[in-house]
Amino acid sequence: MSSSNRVVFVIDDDPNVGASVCALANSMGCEARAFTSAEEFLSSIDPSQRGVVVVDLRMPGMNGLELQDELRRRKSLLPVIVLTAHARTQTTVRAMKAGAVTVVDKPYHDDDLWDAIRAAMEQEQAIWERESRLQEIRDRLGTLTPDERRVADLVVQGLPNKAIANALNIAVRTVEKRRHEVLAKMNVKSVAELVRAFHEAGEST
Amino acid sequence: MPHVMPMIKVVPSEATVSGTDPVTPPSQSSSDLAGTAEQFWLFFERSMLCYQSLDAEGRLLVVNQAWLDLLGYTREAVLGKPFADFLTPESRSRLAEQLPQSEQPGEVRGVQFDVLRGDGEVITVGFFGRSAHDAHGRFLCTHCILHDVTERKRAEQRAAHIKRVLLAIRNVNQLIVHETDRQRLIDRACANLTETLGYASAWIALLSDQGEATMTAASGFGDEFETLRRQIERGELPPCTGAAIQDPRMVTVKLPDQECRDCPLSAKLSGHAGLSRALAFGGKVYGVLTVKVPSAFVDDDEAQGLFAELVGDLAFALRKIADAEALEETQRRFRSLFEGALDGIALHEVVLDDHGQPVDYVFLETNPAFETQTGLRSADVLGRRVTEAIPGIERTPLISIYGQVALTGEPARLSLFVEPLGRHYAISAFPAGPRRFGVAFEDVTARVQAEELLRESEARFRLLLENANDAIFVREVSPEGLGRLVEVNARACEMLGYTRDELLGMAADQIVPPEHSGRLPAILQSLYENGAALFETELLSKDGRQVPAEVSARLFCFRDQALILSVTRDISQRQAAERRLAELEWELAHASRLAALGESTAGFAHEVNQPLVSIMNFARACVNLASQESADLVQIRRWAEAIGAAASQAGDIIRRLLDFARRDPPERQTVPLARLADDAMLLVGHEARANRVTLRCDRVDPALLVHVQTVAIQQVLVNLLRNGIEALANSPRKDRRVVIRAVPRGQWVEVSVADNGPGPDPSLRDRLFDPFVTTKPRGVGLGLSITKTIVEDHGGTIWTATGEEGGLAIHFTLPVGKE
Repeated sequence: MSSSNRVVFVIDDDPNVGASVCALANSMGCEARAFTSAEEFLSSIDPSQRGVVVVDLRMPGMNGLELQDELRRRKSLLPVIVLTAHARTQTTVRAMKAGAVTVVDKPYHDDDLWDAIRAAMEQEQAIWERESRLQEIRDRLGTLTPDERRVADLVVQGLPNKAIANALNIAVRTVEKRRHEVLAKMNVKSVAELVRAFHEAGEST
Repeated sequence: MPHVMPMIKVVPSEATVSGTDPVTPPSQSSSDLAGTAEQFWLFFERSMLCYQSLDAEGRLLVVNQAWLDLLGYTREAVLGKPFADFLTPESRSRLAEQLPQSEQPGEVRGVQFDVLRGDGEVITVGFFGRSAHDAHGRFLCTHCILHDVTERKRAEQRAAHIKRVLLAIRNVNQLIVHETDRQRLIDRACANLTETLGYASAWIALLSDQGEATMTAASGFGDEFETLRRQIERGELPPCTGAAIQDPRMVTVKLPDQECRDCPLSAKLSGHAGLSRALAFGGKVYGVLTVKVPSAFVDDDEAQGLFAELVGDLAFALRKIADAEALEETQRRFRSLFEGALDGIALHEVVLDDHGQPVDYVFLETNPAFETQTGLRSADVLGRRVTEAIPGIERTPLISIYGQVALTGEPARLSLFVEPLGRHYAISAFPAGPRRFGVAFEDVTARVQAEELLRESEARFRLLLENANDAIFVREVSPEGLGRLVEVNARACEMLGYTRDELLGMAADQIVPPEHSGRLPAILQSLYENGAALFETELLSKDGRQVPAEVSARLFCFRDQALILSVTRDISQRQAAERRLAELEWELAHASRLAALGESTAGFAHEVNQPLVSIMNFARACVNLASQESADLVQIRRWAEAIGAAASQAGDIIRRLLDFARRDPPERQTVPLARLADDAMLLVGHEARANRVTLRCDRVDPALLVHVQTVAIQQVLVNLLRNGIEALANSPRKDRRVVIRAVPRGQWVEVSVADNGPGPDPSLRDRLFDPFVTTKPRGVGLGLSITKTIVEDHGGTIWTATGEEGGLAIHFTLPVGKE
């Protein structure tokens, strides 16, 4: 895991608390940056930024849950850790549904926050890797010609070449040729692999 | 019967033998005859029967010894004398009438004559006999047997007398029953007494209370009585009358011609006796009745008894007349009283229902004043029921009260407002015969009203004096100094523990302690100059306690006496109450702070959590860093210092929390206002965050000092900040804020707490500081009320103004603090 390009973003209106969270992140080998409001944070990052967000639930102006909503709207992949003081179950559920990695109650126990940051980092890595692969599949799919794409769609549906030729009213030979091109362009060795790539990319049949 | 008597030779008895014997002895001499004659002689001479014989001239021819014994004469003194010589004049004249008849053949029977005995006594003798005639019918003599019938005759006369007296009594009784005129009564009584022959004469003198004769009557007299009457009218009462007046018993005059020689009537009384008796009844002598009675009956008990009865009856009649006159006089007087009285008087008869309960009454009689006293016309009410005459009277208790008077006979006296007449009456009700009653009444409306006014005013004054919550002392005063107490009320006695009697007459130094009495001359001086003085002092109670008192004294003059009226209030309780109130206010403020803390529990948790969170983070970071091979000690030290700072921040929060909850009595301190504002913002910071409200202390000079009870002013700021936060809770704004500002203004610092919320409901703006005024669903509305109390306790004022952008701003002043 490389942490050099990932940042722990700490958003708390209490600068002391923000500083302490940054210290904790630093001691874990992570870069950390503190903000005293959600608005300030949002204005200083771009969507491709990697890292995790630690945010206090209650703040003047935009609060933790609203920030979470805003990140989702911006299709940010940053996992969010929400710090609360005596959070009500309803708040916790809402935060979790909105994609928070975890909700940590203050005062938390011993290593709760440290564990949460570590878990969030791992999750961020996994999300990032999956997103990268999806992006590759989508990129390869983009290289298929429309004819190749029509053949590929029917191959994924499990139709034999002859049936595909009949359906597309083309010659079996043409089908075989385009099928070969598809497997090569998608960098897959078998039809089974092609099917999985389609599934992962959400281009399911 | 043989005619032997004239032939009998009457032989005188031994006693008479010596005298001339007019009786010729029997002439025929024979022994037998002689014996017989002797026997007859003895018989004749010794007979118990009296015998006499008269000749044609009425002379006594023969008498026997019994005759002589009866009449008390000697034979010689009587024989040959006319029998008439031995009779009373009345009998003598009757004998003269009788004699010629006695010469006729026939018997003499039952003839009675009153005969004068030798000793002068008169006896009544009855004669039984016959006349003797010769062969030629010539009258020879009379032979008579005499019986002494005196006793019988007297008895007969007595019976007749008594009968006549009884008759007289009966007549007089009839007379007295209906005779009402005194003169006529005595005139007719006298006439009756003589007409019935009960008495030969009678006269009456009526006497005044002074014993003077006022009226006389007589019967059986002629002009003699006129002489007496004149004499009596001159005041000269005859002795019998005078004696009778003196002695209630019978007075008898047995020999009037001797005893009453001076009395003009004495001549008329000859041969009779007089009876006089006082006409007395019930101890009162009305006059004297004197009657003439036959001497024979003057001592007769029964006759006297009857006379006494007669006198008694007449006296009773006189009494009755006197009573009737007195009654008439009384009635006349009462009538004039009745007619002339100023009081209304009315006679009534009560009307009863089936149960005998009085339900009404009828007017029987009214006097002239009745009309003026009631305003009713007598003609309209007489004979009518009161419920008709005075409608509405049944609503008063009069019918019942009068009914009781009539039924029980118990008089009643009452004073009553008779509403149907619209007047107040003083009424006397009295019984007036069966089921009747009278009332005398006076219209006292004006008097009653005046009295009531006076009474009410006096009662009000009394009530005021006695029920006054303050002790009231009235003390005489003179230019020389304070005098004695002349009036105190119950509260004054209670306050000092003395009885009223003990207090009255007390001098000032007895109830004013020495340390305060020195001020009295100055107070007195002020009283004389201003007429009033208000001061606080202490009074000395009976048990030696000193009672703190506030005295309002006033000088006034009553009947030439200068007096001081001191209205004195025991302020020991007030002082205690003031202390207690202050304690209570402090308690309330404290309770309110605890409540504020309770509401902020989560906020405080957050405030303490923050440094705790920092501490844990820094600690973990230190641990992480220290576990690495090349530990960055500089970093570790920086983080450890951060841990210390966070811990001290937590401690500070807790200290401020405890300060705020402290209950210690307040002592004013000089502190920077900014610090109080920070503390307050800390206490409500959590709420502000929860409502996304920004709290700000704007341009407050950190050097600006106030002299206040710090906790109390923190509470004021907390209350006002919280009020602002709550006002913003539902605001659609994003930039919600509450701002504290402060400006020095001379001896005061004007502080304001303003929010940019919607502003209070206009209907509540003026009442914001009243207790229990709230717009919050769960609030009790004490916060701003306590705030006001605290500010005013500091001598400051508090008011509302319009804050930023239409929100509410609350301004208050605090005393400035000096370094």
